[in-house]
Amino acid sequence: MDWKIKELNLEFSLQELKNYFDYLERSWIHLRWDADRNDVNDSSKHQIEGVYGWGIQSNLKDLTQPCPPYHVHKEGTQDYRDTALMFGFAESIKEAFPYSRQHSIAVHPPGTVINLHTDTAKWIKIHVPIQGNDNSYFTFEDEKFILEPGKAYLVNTTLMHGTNNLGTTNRAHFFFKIPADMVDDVLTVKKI
Amino acid sequence: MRYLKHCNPVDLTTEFLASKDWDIIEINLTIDPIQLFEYYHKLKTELADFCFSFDSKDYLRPEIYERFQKEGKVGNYIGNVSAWSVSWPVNRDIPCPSRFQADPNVYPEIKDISQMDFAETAHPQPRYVFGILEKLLNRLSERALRQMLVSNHPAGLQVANHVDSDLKKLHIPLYTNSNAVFTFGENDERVYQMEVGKIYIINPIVPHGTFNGGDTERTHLLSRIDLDYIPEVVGMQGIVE
Repeated sequence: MDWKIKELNLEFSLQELKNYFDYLERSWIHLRWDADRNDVNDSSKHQIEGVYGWGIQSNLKDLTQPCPPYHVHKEGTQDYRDTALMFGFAESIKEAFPYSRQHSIAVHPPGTVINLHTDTAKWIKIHVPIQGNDNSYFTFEDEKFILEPGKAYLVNTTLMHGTNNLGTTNRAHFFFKIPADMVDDVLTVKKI
Repeated sequence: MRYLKHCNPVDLTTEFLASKDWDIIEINLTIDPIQLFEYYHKLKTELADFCFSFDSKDYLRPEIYERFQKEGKVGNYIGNVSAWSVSWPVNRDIPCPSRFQADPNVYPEIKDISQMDFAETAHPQPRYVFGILEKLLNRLSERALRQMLVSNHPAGLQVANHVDSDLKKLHIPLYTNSNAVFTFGENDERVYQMEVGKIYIINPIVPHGTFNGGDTERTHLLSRIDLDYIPEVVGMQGIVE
């Protein structure tokens, strides 16, 4: 796979996604994970102050505790299970992509930088932007990509990649993982 | 003490109510149990056609229906529940499932609607406003009775340990048994039983679940109550009859 980012042909309601996000922001603070808490394994020197989000599927033993949207928790396993947040838009995504896992939302405030890195070759990420700005983007060493709300993108996380939010507003994405060998199937899903 | 009874409304600060430091508040106001039973009986007889369950294929999102048929559970519900959605954004002459389980193709009024809009636009459907429910609405107002649902748990039904959104829930048992319990705590270590005639507010951000260990069903009227209205409700005295 030498491509970096592919736009999906997926039709969905951005409003439904925004409603879902707003509901989590308003009424699910008790399941919100904050990067500033000292419960992560992170020696990567990313700039993640103020980053927060929700693990909609969790790899923690206790599903009633906040789960990070990234595989960084000290207690984390590879066993991902639905939390109480698996409803509405998130559930529609899971139904459309039944082989998907690690459904999450992450919010990157201005100044957030995830340095270049690679993730496992077994899984590929799909990002569905909720909100962003013209100075928030993915980087792939020699190229940058601005992802637009209302669209969904395959992100080849097996290549060196990172993110920057150099804008003045938060960047919020819904994202999840699919097995790397399901990329062709994902491209056939038209609607949720 | 995580089970609060006879509490002074002044002690119920917004900070405390929003915390995880309590499980259940039993309020002083009580309800005539006979009229609660009469309401329950009418639901089970005259309004039976408006009851939905996870077998209601025509009204549920297809994936919810199929999952229940295949696995016998949906989300935290281990087993089949039935319910009447009392509050809904429009008046409907068919059963209305809970918001996130209803098929938006059958109920276009919930498509792309936010939780706030749903909470504000869902009002009691006229067919349910009679008897004791009408009296409760007059006494407590919709501020304590938002998104009303009468939920029926058959014998043996379990709701697995979970947390919900921070919207505080009011529970009014209509019909129950002494082995139908609420459990609170990460290991379901705190067990509470609710009685017909009483009104309870539960703290849904504390891990909790339910189990109907009796031989008969357990039927509760549920609603959401505004956080800033809780002290006023806690301060109410007397009986609704």
